Amino acid sequence: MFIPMLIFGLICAPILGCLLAGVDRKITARMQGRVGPSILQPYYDFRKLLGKDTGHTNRTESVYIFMYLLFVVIATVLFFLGGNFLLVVFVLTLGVLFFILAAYAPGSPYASIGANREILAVMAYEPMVLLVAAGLYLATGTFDVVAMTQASKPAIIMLPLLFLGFIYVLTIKLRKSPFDLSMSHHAHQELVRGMTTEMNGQTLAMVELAHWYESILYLGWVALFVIWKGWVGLIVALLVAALVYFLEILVDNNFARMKWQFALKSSWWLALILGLLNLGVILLLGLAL
Amino acid sequence: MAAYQDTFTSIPLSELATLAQSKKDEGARFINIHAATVADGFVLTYTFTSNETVTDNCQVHVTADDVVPAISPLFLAAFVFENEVHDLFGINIEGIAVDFKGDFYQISIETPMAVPTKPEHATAVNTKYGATVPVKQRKGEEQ
Amino acid sequence: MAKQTIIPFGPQHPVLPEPVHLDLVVEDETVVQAIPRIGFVHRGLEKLVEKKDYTQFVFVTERICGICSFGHSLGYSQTIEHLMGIEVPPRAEYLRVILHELSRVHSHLLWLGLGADAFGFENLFMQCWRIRERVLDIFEKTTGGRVVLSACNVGGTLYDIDDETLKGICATLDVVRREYDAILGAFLNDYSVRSRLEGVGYLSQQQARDLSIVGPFARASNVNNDVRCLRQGGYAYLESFEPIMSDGGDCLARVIVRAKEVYQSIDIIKELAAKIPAGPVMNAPKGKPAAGTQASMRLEQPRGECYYYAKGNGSMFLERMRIRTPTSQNLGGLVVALAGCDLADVPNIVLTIDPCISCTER
Repeated sequence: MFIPMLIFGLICAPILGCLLAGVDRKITARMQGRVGPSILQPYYDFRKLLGKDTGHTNRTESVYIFMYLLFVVIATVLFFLGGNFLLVVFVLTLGVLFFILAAYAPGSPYASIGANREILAVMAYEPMVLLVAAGLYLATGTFDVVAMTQASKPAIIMLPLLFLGFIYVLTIKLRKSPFDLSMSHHAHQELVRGMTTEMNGQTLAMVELAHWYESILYLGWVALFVIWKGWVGLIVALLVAALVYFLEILVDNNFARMKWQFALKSSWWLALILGLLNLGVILLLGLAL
Repeated sequence: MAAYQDTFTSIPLSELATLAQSKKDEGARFINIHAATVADGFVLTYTFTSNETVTDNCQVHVTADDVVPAISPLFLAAFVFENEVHDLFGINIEGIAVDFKGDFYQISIETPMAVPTKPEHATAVNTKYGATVPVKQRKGEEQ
Repeated sequence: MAKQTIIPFGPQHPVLPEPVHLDLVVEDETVVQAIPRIGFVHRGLEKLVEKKDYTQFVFVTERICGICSFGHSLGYSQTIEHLMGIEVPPRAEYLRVILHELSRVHSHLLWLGLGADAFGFENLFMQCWRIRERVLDIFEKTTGGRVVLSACNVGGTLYDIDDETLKGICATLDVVRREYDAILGAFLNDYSVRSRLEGVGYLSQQQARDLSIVGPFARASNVNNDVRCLRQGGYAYLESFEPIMSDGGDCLARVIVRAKEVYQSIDIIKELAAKIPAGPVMNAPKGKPAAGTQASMRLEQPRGECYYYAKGNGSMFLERMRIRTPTSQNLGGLVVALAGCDLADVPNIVLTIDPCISCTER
């Protein structure tokens, strides 16, 4: 299974991510009463960005963005090859940290405040993500993604609350309203474009590519909750992932943007209540799949 | 036209400060300041309303050398108009609450509204900044 | 002391509808001080009065601003009529108020969309502007222009709107009202929207009076200076007129005041369209403004009270024309409202004064 999954993680994931972004824009447009761009529009944007001149205020910015892309790709490939879930989480966090450094590099006030907010966003979702890793270990007895997919029953049976909490922080990770604080795909917020204000040309193209990998990776995590051994399990997991993404688009179109204080407070409370409650119940009752 | 009432009164420059203070004390609302060029200087019109029905326009005749006391310390909203009058007409207003010192509008002709023109002159001003029209000296530039 | 950064906000900024520059002195996302700068669209339109005679200048006043376009042509026409003592036929007065209130509906819908955009609710922004398209279609059908109507001139209106079309307009406004009801719930009851608007940019009634602010900005702080209460022009024919007030004083109150004014405007239009008299629509001005005459006029535009002044000198060209727009008056209020707010609140506060900087600078 190594070669096909490697190809999937390395090559198919960004293609799927690109199409997913296109479908996202189309559905969002229809919800807003517009026609919307074609589904291939993110790909056209990506190609256009590659062909542009890149102007840098500070050259280290492109190095950092390359490191961000590299680590996101490594995390995605590791995940789809069935590696260690905790390792995937930490490699991804390292990548995001490089993204934040890249936002600080040019010294622009907009990018710096965007980077500040992204740090707060990371602080908001990391606890929940770590609880998810812990929950999956407690439910399936292993950190190995391959072993988790071969479980006889879906992990969500034991981790319903954790799943809900994860969907909540997924809104922050995917940068959708109400939590599109640090940068959003609409440049209307107070920070112009937030973290990516000073990025253009090939650097911005790398950021777009990394976002595509990231979306597929997160949907993979969602699928991990629902998957079980066999074809039926796989198909149900994919459907649930698609449904969750649709839910994110729906939420994006029905909420204004909240301030960072609300994002931080609400995710920590949820992590505390839903996450610890779920894990506590499992530990107390000595359950296992 | 039903029910619109306005009054025009003329006061000397020396009474401007007391007028502003009395309007503030009686709780009148400040509406506008503007200037108009006349043959021997300018006429500043200060507009207030005491009861929201009658518009009181108080007109003050000044020359280019007169120093006019600012009313924006009493009515903050006036700072916009006082800066504008200073930039466009060159009237010397002292004590503006938020003073941009001539840089409120970035204009290239010094005091454009104070240059008396007829329609044929207006064309000359608009197309070529001719010898008769003084160009604004920017800091550090020689003209 | 915390480290202070200066964030340059504008003139080019995606959230701003008009170019205004604010230097925000920020300490850790709290705005300590805001220093405004305008002057990016100063076109010197008041000087054009020397080049365009008093019947042509109305077209210049229309182009001061795209949103308040009809309001400026109306105010200018009323000023010259006051200056020269011209009688406007009653039907023209009705039509002028109908078009002006339609202008108010379209301006408030535009503003509500921009306000939604400022707090990150793009969906609501798109829906508001889609409703606004119906009003722009009405303008196009009756006067030929969507934004700059060129319908008002000294002495009356240039176009007549026949009774059939007026009934059609009322029917369209019913549709607008239904669609508007549907989205207004999102503005007033949504939790995320309220959390962005409540308590933000508060101005007390005393501050509002001291800063001489006008329009819905003032009415939300319970200060009434609505010029429509004077009942001049076509407003004299209304049964009654009560300005919409609120004493919240914060961004939410201003949103509510403007949202309700849309309903009020629709009611005014329907009331006047039902009882409009027949007759001519233009009483063409003859002669010139006499030398030494001067006149002032006030008009309630969507953004507040607008003051006009005209001075004649015996020729076809006016000696001086002055237009003082509501946003110039509200700039002082903006600076005070911005002090001490969060960086995330800056677009909300800037937008709640309904800035029309093109008007401010002419």
